[in-house]
Amino acid sequence: MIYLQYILLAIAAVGAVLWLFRKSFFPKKYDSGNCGDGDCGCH
Amino acid sequence: MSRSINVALIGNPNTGKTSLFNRLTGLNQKVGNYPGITVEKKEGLCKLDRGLKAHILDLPGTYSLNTSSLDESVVVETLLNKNSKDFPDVAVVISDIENLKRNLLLFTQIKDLEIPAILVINMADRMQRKAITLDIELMEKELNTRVVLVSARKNQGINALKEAISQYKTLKTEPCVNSSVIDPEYFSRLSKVYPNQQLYKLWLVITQDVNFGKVDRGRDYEKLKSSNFSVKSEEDLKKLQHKETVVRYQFINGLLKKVLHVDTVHAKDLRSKLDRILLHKVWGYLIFFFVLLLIFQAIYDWSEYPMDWIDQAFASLSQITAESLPDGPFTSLIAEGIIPGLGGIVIFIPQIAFLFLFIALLEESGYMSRVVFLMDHIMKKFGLSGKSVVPLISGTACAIPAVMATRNIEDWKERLITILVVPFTTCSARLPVYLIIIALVIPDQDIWWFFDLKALTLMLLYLLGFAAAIVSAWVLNKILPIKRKSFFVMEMPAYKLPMFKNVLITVIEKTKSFVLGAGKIIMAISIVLWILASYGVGDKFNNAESIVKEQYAGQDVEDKIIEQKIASHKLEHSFIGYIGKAIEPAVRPLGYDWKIGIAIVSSFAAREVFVGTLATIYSVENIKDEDKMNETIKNRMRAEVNPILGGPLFTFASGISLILFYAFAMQCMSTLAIVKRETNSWKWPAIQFTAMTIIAYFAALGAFQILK
Repeated sequence: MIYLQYILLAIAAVGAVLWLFRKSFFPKKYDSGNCGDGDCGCH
Repeated sequence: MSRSINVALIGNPNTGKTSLFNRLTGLNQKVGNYPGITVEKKEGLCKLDRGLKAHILDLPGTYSLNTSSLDESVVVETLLNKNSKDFPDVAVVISDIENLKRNLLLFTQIKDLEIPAILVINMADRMQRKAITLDIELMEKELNTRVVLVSARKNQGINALKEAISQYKTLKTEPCVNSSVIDPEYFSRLSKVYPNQQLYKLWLVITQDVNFGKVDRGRDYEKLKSSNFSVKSEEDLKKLQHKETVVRYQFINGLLKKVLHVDTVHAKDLRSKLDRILLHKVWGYLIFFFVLLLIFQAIYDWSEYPMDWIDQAFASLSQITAESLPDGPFTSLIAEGIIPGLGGIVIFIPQIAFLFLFIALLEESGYMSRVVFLMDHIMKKFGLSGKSVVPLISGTACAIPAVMATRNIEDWKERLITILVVPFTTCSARLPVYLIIIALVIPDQDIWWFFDLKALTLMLLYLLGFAAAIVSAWVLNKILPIKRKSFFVMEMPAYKLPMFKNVLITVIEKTKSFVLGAGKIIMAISIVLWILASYGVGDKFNNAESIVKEQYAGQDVEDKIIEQKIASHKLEHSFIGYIGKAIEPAVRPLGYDWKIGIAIVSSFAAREVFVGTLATIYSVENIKDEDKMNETIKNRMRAEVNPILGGPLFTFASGISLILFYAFAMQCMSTLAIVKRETNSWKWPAIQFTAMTIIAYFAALGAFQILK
């Protein structure tokens, strides 16, 4: 049982690090057609 | 034999276009008060003089010919395609007397297509009540067309309009604005390639793809596309479209200065009366100040109980998880790492929801636009554009949409300055940090018998954010002198009672996006932090139990305290302990210990991680103590002792120092990524990050050294 806990811990740790790495260095691209929240006043 | 002509009814949403259509055609249609009610092309017949009949098309509402939706593209399609059976002989452009400036943008575009156009000014019955006078004769001369005042609701001026339509052949088709000023060199080349084409029509054909790419605009369009006349990038075309808008508003402003007069002193309606108070140069600001104070007071008073429940619920959940799951490292990760970390952010849901509730109420009621107008006066004094107000105010929710909202600032330097200073405004991610520190270091005390000192402090922090933004803008303005001012156009909506449904949707969506956005990153960081805090290398970590027991051998110390000391010793010699100790020399002069140092470093990814990090670290430290296991985050922080000076770690001096650090530091990777994208360079985000971190460090250092 304790091995299973270590395996789950390792999966969580690797997942968290990879996710943070992606979030930091490859951030989500925002929709370029959007002027931001609400009416941008352009049109 | 009767002849029939095509008449297109065109106008901005909410100008009463459908009501006028009903008056002209007699068809019974649904009329609403929200944009986009006319979602498809509608047609009807109207009898004019001398056997002439008008085939009237009720086109969807649009703000300009730079369309961005399928509904709006119908208008462009109709006006550009001369071969279409619906191509109008005359365009009737409807405007609303209270929003003439905005409405005229569309009119000038249609007029420049050299289509006979009549300007209809609807809701004319309100002119007297609103003390508006309009020189129609001069307006007709300046616009080179017929201007007709109508009231579709009261059936006034309809016959005059019918008469003007029947005389459509006498209408002049000269453009209002010389479109070649948008880019003389480009337009000159365009006219050489297409000597027989209207320049403005060509321009619209070229730019439609920038906004909306799937519109059939007939043979002209196909011919132009097949000619490969594309020498401008999409981005350049967008910039030129913005320039076109500025040029048009300059023309409109000049026109309205001559023909329109609004006597606000004699205006009799409620809106004008309210505006006279709320936009007053003294009362306006005082009222805004008290509105802010009331909001922050309410945030504190109303949130207290739900926050305590959430805090207690997470502490209990942690304990239940530890007791019910099998012993092991993964159970500990959940109980000591993930649950306390998430609890650190979920606890702020009530206050964040209340903040968004008030922002939504201000927006829905129409008061927010008055605030923007008031702030515009201050902005100008600091060299910022009036348009900078919108990003700065939306920055109170999140800097990312605020940075993106700077796109409508035409002048590059004004835009750049706004992008650089927007992260100073107090975004919702700073709120958890402020709230927890204020709760720890600001005493429970009332000001003026009613206002809580804590609420007042929070309000001052919001004002500090704005002050930092505009002072930085002033400095940047001196370093990067702005040569040209962009044009600020803002619609003042009518005051109205906020719609409950709209407010509720806004609150739910904004709160959900904050919690989910922050929740994911906090969960990941909590996992990493917990592992770094629970594991280590070396004798001091591995033999922590024997080392501590040896230290206290022979002393009468309770087992509970010994266990606490072992946990502290292990934490200090864990991986995170070593990292924290390495940071400590840099943060000690600011009044912080290594644990706060770790929380600051981890929150460089996102500010709200600070509370989650401390919650995880303190949880690991206290987990062996069953009594403390059930303690709330606030109490754990309150119990922390300064390792150097003794006494509480979170004092007034260290608390203010920490608050100032968070007020000024640029701790948001997503914002930096957006700044990089918007400025197309790493230079500006790097400068922004460095400058804000230096300001934050020295502000925090100064505060601690003075107040300690």
